[in-house]
Amino acid sequence: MSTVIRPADNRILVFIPSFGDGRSASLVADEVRQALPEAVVLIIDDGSPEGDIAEEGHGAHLLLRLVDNFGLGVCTHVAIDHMLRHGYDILVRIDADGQHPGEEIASLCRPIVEGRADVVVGSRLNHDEEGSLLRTLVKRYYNLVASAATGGRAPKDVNSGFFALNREAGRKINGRLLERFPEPQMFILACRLGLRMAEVGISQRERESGRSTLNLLHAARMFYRFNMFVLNELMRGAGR
Amino acid sequence: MIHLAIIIALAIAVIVLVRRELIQIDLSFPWLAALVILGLLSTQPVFVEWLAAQLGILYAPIAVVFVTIFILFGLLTVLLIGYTRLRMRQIRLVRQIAAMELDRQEQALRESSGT
Repeated sequence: MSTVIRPADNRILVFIPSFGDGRSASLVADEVRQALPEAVVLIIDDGSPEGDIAEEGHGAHLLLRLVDNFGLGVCTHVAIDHMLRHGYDILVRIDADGQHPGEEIASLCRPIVEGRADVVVGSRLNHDEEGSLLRTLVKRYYNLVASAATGGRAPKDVNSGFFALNREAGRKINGRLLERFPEPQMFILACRLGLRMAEVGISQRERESGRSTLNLLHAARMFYRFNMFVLNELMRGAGR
Repeated sequence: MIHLAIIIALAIAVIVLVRRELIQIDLSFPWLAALVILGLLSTQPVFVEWLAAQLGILYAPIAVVFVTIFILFGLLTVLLIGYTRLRMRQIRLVRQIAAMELDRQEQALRESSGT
């Protein structure tokens, strides 16, 4: 069943965070514009080396370059700020490495358009097929803890960088400071703040270019911060 | 005399750092000053004995160590609070600058599309 997203009713902002993914970010922007011509595409360059994204021909409607690498949390805040200030109804995040299919954005937005959800997560159906055993175990740990912290409401893939949220969700999530790798935090927050969650299964593609920014040190920091965040949330009690 | 020379050298180092504005006087100076004062007083056995009696510590030199740890903890806490505030301000600043730039681009986009 196809979903018709009526641009007059739902203004969509698609944001692509990029760090060293200049070429593939442009390709993703082109793909999104083809799949959803009425959406506005924003690339946020999170402190990539100079010249990583061309000034012209980058494929996006809006391009923001940060002078340093501030992390995905700050990029997400910037995108939500823009969404709220300029009246966009839906914010979609899609990764710059080309792993998320642009044509799935319509499916991702459907629960929000139909009024059934505030946050929709594109859960990767084939994510378990790749990665080391350690990576798989860590991922399962995140999902387990997220599920426990949210009474089972957390999405199955709390690390997915493919999601959509409406204005209400943007307002509530923006009220908290997001971490450098904010995905698990965002989804747990969304559940605890009483936002309606939905999931859409997607098939992840191979990375087109670049490599994961998640090295061992980052992964360890992320693991630590995730646990501290969950502990903090549990001590705070139910979200307000 | 050596321990006195070390304490005085540390005190001079703190003063130089403050004068060169490498450390802020409102954040860490009181704690550093407390360390220097404690260092000077701890050369006096009478003070050390008195401190140990106040804290209920049997072995007097441990009292100085205990107070030093307390002062260092205070210094660390103040610095962490300062660092957190600085980070928050930095993020707010980045968001504000980003908003200004994106507002400009959004305006240009709407003008070019006639909306």
